[in-house]
Amino acid sequence: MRRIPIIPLVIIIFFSFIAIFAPYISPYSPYEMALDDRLQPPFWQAGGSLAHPLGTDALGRDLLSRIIFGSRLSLLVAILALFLCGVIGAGIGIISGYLGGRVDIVLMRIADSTLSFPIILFALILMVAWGPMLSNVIIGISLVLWARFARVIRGEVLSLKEKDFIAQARIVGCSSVHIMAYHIFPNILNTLVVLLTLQLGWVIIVEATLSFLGAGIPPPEPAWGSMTADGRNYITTAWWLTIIPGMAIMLVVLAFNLIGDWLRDILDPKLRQV
Amino acid sequence: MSKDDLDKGFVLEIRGLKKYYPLKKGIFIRSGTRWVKAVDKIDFSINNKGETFGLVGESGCGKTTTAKIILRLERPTEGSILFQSKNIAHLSGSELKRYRTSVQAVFQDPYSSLSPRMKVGSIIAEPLVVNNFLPTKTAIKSRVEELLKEVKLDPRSVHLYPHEFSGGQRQRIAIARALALNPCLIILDEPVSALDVSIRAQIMNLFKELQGKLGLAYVLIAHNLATVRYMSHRMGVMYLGKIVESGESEGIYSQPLHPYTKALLSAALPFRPNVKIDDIILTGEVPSALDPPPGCRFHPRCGYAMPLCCEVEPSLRLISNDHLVSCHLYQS
Amino acid sequence: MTQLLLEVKNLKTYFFTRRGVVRAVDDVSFRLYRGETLGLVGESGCGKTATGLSLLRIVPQPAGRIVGGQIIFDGEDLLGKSEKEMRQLRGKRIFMILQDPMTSLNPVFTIGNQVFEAIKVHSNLPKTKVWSQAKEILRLVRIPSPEAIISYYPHQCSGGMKQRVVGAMGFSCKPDLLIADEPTTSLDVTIQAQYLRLLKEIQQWSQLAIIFITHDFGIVARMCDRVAVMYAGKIVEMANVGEVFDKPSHPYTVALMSSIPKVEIKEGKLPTLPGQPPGLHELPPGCSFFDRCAYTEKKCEAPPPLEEVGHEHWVRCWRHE
Repeated sequence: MRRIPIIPLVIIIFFSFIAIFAPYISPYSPYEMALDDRLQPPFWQAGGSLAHPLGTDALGRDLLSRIIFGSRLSLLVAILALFLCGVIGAGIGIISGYLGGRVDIVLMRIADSTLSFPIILFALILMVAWGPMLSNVIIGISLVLWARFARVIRGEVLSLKEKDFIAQARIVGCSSVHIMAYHIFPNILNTLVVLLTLQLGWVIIVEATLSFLGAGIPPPEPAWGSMTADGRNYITTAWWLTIIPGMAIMLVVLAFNLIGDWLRDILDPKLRQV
Repeated sequence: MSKDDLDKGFVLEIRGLKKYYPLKKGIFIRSGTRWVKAVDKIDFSINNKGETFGLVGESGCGKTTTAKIILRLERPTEGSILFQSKNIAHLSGSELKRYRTSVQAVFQDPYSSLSPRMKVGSIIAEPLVVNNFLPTKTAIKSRVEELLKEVKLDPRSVHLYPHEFSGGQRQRIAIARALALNPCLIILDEPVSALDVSIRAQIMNLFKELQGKLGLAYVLIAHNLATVRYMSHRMGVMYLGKIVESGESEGIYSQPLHPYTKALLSAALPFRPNVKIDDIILTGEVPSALDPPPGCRFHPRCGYAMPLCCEVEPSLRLISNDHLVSCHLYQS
Repeated sequence: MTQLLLEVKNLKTYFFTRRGVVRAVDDVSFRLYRGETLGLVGESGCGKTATGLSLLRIVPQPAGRIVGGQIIFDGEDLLGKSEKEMRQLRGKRIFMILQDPMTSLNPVFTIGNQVFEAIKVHSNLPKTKVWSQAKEILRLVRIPSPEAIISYYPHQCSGGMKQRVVGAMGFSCKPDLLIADEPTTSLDVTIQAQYLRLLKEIQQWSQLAIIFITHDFGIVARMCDRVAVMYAGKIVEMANVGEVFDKPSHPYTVALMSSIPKVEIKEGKLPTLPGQPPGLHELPPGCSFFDRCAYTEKKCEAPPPLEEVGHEHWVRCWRHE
């Protein structure tokens, strides 16, 4: 058994911590503007100070505080979107896989049609159609990603269906609903957990990309994606405005992917190619 | 006939049972679809409580399909299944549920027949819960413990998971579950073939003991002829979807009539070395149920085949007391 | 006078797992002569398969290791050979058939291709000769139309057919020793009969020595000249087949044989063996059959040695000291 990857775990715990305790540990409010202190560099560069350890942006807002509150947003969107994805995806996967027949064919056609769209493009179209709002971002991402969950879960269910204990459940008088809830669902949980962890990285990237393109969480919310976008114009003069939020995104996504790989190896090695 | 016999009549009577599977090329069954004739018109019955009917045959003969139909995991294409004089072949809803409480099963693989994420107690209790069999949780709990004792397992096993038990113990758990609803009939599908040799006798004896104690009828599906001889009172030999010989087990073992039965018995290796084996080695493979040979299905591999056998299918004829055979050698 | 082909002396193969050391093969010794069939009988976990794998030195690594003993094949100790030398031996002089023919055959190549490869690997014949030899071999294992089957893929063949193809691949190089690990367990009983008859025929004209690993005493009675009964990694009884059936001496052998239903008689109640086969990582000290034996004495707390109790009849039990 591989040992727990310590560094990714520490990264995740760290960011979860700052997300939860953001109001207590953040030095400033993320919205507070201080136009005298615009574009201050991080403390290790000339002109920077520990008053603003990671520097400030074009409106004098403290970058560290915005990163801290940004982690809240990213993780919130990720968790809620994944929850919704999991519910829809697993639900449809189980129903489709277990009931089979016409239900399966119809549901999978619907799933396939969403799979053929590139994720970012699909999300973008939805956002442009609905308007950038936090709840829309969450719903939009779920609509884009549920089919991936459904496909994989359905595969699991198909092989699970053939096992004797499912036949036994029918023989004993269990209804299809009972079987799906008490026999199928607990046995696909492993797969579901692994999928959720592996997709988390994707979700964060999608949200960041949407925000970067202006179609995600609207300003003045400190979404890492929009922060990266805002910093584009200053990349030669104030590199920290783009690089630091970018690195935050990278670290979190990488950490979740590594943890996801590890979880998959111990829970469900069959998913190696997902 | 005893009073019991007059009361119950047939426990189980299968008449003209057919199960054809379509070989579909899409989602619709068109004309010209070919059919896999897994079970092609069979008849047999279990006449009394406490009787075991053995169904013997090799892969593709249709015995497992027959079991699935009796358990209503599948519906028959044609024919009737009379259980206590009622045709259950097309029941649904609450009537089907009621039938289910009388007919249970124990399957071959002890590793896939128990839900891996449920505790043993819940597994055995499930039939009781799903059918509202007992009024209170305490009643269910004590019934589960009683069942575990019946199969000679420690009642404290209720708190453990299946993977903590060996193959033989898991099979006992499966038996306890099968007994939960007080069924009359239990279908045993290769119940000991996946177990270690030294454990098989323990489980077979348990089945026999329970049969004597509770008056259970069994349909025993097995390919091991020694197992079937030990456990069954009557039996049927299946080949390619048909029953070719049936009757009292002892009668068939001591005087097999159908050439296929003879070959099967010859292939079942005796427990003595250096025996001059009456080698009836069959040539060829078992043909597919998709295109069974015309006439008698066994004729391509039969050492006694006559021209008639290639054209006309023989019917089951009563040769002596309860001994039926489907072969042209015995038709006149 | 038959020649001694294989002598195994004090073979020990252990698996080093997180849960402890599994003594899969624990001091196993036996002899095998040309043209003879030795049955290695026992239940799951007794070490019979591990013994077979050890002979070919294909024990799964890194957990498994042959830690002691000698495997003297035709005069040379296999444990002293290099991997390169073993590779030349495998498939050419010693061949192994496994239970599931599906995993022995590559699903993406035709039958013809695979037999061809098997022959080519160990010979220097030109292509045309190899093809005709391939067809000859397939005919030898009684495959009805070799020309047809050459273009089939494994999934298009039945179990019996596949097992014969695997056999054909093995016999193509006229090996000296065949290790057959439950080769007929997944086959129908009439197909098994055909296959066993085939093996016997091949053995008769080729002087092939066979180690037949099985749990089925019926097969032992039919195929074997000598029998070694294994329990918890050790041989507990070894004798000629007639002796084992007439005068089984080890309590395990006796109990096991009486608990098996026999097709030729109508049995009364079968006596049963209590308990279950032990897990190999938690064996009791002393005799490993202690927990299930009906005849234990104080002596049994020490492990008994294998003693000769009759003509070529060995038993590992204090009762027969």
